[in-house]
Amino acid sequence: MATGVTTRPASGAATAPPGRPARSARRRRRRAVRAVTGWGFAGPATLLVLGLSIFPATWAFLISRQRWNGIAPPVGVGWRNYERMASDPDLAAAVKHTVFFTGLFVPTSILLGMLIAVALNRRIRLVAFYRTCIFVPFVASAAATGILATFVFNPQFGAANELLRRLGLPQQLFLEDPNQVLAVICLILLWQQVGFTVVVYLAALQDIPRDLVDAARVDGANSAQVFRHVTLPQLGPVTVFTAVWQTITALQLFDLVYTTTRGGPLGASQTIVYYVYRQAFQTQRFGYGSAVAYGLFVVTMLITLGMIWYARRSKLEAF
Amino acid sequence: MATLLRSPGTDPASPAPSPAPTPSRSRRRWRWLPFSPWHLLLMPVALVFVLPLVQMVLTSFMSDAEINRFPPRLIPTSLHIAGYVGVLTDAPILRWLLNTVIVSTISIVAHLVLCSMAGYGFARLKFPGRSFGFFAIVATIMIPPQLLMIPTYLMFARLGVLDTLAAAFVPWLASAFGIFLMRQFFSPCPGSWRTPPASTAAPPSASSGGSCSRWPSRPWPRWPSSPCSAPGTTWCGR
Repeated sequence: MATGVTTRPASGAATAPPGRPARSARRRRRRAVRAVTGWGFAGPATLLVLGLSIFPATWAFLISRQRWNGIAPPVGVGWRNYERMASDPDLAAAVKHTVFFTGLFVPTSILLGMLIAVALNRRIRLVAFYRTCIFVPFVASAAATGILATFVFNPQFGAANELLRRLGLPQQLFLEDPNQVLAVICLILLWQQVGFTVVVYLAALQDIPRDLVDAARVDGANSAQVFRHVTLPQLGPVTVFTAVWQTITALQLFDLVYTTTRGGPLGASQTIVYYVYRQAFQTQRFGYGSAVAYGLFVVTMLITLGMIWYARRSKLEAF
Repeated sequence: MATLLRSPGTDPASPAPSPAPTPSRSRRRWRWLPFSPWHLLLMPVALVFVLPLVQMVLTSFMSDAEINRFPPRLIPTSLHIAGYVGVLTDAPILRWLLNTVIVSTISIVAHLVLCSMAGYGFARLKFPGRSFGFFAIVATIMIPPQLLMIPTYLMFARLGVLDTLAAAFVPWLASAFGIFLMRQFFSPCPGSWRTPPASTAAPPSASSGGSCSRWPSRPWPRWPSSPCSAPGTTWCGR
């Protein structure tokens, strides 16, 4: 019985005689039992997740085709909200910031995560302490991280400028300089998120079979060669996962901007989602805000599917 | 051990003109250090991650004048607990703490039960609609949360749960990420455990237990046991 594990023992051990006409009925019943069992396991969570996302998302789509300020009755405007996106200079700037941020954040977080994970993946003293230190910021909330960051990067009293002063380097404005603000926010988000990347990579590293490394060593490979030809290929699927996950994180960046700069200075750190927030909740343009969010959703989905497609083509099964 | 198996003479198969540093040789190069050279990398990195948090704790014991003095100072000169007193007396923080505990307890328990059930179902059971259901769940990760805010608010208003704790924990009873994580965890090596070779074939009752998670090669890693053994739990605490 090949599928014995997947069916309930009660139905599998049924003592029906193996008569030919009974077979299709029995198969149908087994199929029904399988569906009930499967959805019995997966159903409750699926219902919750989909009910709290697909249903509101459909609703948001209806809102995105309206002009509505939350109080007056909504007016249907067809696709005009979507057409307006094309000629909105503020949105174009927000898109530019988000693309720049994503391009900065995703590769850095993957490289840094892999490097730290490789360093942590050995039996030395204090390694548990190091792991804890690196993971702790991930547990801190975005609000705490933001407040902490404004302390550290405060141009007058912050620790960052104090460090630069001790090293004899020129003082910086950090979050108050339009040219630096995105890079500084990227640094803060890295500080917070690298713990996650490290944990994922560490898990993958510890799953590499010991025999593989030993075999390469017996064949005369040095540490660099083992890393290049044994470790790195084994990390492929996890890298795809991390890249997809961090891309979504970067494209949806909101709470750090909200708690540190509120889009400033001079709108230099306004990201797409922050722009959505401003349109919908500050200027009460719910329709236009929903349309922009929908645009972001479609782009995110295309990018993600593109990455997964590329990974599949390179024979990397990550999902 | 690899080093024991290496031939004692010079290695003729070595491709590099200069002999590649064997593990023992590179270790000998760092022998003058009383500790592993990796500490030189890891110690500063760990400090970068943890020092801001330490500074936050230290700052909480400073007076305003001390925080705003120049040049800034890391260690407070006197223990100043006015901040803590203020938090405890000016705001009902204990009530907030209780709310947080209630909401996170409910969502952690619900997450553990619901997501592991769904993860098991999607990974191990075969049933109609399985692939589509899982794809739909993963697709919801890509929806920006801000898109859902207004409709969710309106929905909860209709359900009459506004201004209750239910509105805070109902969206966190289960999450797409939790289901995804648990499914990856339960995923067996494709095809191998379903049709094991005859010699190792176990009765179905045994193979449906925990033994499958010990199958040697897996498409996705298990989580390491040290400090973050429960990322799902951390996740729903956020």
